[in-house]
Amino acid sequence: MEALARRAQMSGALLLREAKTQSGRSRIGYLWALIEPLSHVAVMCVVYWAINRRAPVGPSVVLFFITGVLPFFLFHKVALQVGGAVRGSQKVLRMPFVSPLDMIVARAVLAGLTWVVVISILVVLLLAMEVMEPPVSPETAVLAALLTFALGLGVGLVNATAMSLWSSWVHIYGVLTRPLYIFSGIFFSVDRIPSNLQYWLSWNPVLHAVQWFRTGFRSDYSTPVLDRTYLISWVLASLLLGLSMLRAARPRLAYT
Amino acid sequence: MIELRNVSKAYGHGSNRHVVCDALSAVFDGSAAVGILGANGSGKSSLLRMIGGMELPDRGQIIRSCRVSFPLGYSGGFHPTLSARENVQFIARLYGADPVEITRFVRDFAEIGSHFDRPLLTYSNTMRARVTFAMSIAIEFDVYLIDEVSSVGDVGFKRKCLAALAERRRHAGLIMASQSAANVRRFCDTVVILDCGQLHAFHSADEAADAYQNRIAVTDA
Repeated sequence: MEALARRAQMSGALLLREAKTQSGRSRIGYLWALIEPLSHVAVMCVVYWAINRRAPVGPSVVLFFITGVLPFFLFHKVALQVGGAVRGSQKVLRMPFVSPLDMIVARAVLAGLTWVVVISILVVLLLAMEVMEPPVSPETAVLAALLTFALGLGVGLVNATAMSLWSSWVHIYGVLTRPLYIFSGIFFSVDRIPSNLQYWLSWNPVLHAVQWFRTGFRSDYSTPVLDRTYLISWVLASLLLGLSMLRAARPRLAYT
Repeated sequence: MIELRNVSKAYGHGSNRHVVCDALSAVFDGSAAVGILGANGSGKSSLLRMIGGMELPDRGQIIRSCRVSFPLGYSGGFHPTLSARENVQFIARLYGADPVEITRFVRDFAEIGSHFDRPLLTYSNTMRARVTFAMSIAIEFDVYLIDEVSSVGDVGFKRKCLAALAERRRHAGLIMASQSAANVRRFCDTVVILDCGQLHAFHSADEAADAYQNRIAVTDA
């Protein structure tokens, strides 16, 4: 118990430090966390209205885009932050008793908390502007978000070790995951595309995370393309692989 | 007490391989002042970093049953874009010390005025040394590690540091690495020599200092 409290203390100290260094010295540093996903939604809206189509699903286009962009960002940011936790902080990891896992926990929690703040602001704004109705099943959305976070953490753990042992992995991971933004059903409805294409896209765990998150917001949204067990299997497998890699590579990580 | 069991450490590969510790075993009493003498490149600093937990040995174990400081003046935990205040708070939290109390101590000790709240990257070397040194003795450790005492900035500040260190020394042990026998003799009751990956012990500090001087004389000739 005492050891656990000590680790929490370490991660807490690192979290505060990360919060200060990541936002940079600029005053709007923290605002970027809100501006970035909103700019994505704005671009999609502009493109959508420009080609003047009907909303992919339901009456609110904005809500559809937001419930697509945000779970994707949760996964993407956590995986990115955790992935760079070891490589990007060699010096502080040399401080006695700061372990790579402390840094990983600090960065994951910071990315997760930032996301919670962003989504809370957006939901309150949308409710106030009466663009959306209250989510029909907030608990579903919360559960989906938790699993999306865990997927980001699992993938990030694998990246953290891989990136610090093999510097090319940064680029390979970038190339591999670039298409995820397109293939995760963020700006189109995966229910409305040909079924053989659906089959191939259904291999992407982030797609299921997005689909699951959306079911929390709309009562009339039911989809054939949602395999909850598949997403959970990915979460467990990536966490297991990531933690094992971290442990196996431990002597080579912080002290090189 | 700090115990080294069969500690081995080497850097580089092949013909560049440089052995710092070769199956080294030793026990450091937590309350004593121990000096480690060694020529340039003998691995004193690496040994000190391993004792402090900043570096892992290739093989063997280091067992610490007390709170060991980071080497005095070590700046690895400092982030250049954060101010001295923010950095000091971070390190205090890391060690479970009271951030308010530690910040006050460092601010008063370092005497760098309003620079204390500016980013570290705007500091001169002297200012940085003042902050990192003040940080090192702000927290109460059981054993303090010192790598080459002469590395502490300007003369006036150095005198102040030595006084503060002597004060801490009353309740804490000391492990000091140096190239200079005179420095080590001023502070330490026990002196050992690090040479070819082994520690050599002596009956008295004077005897060790003499042996060290002779060794240097031999290698120089």
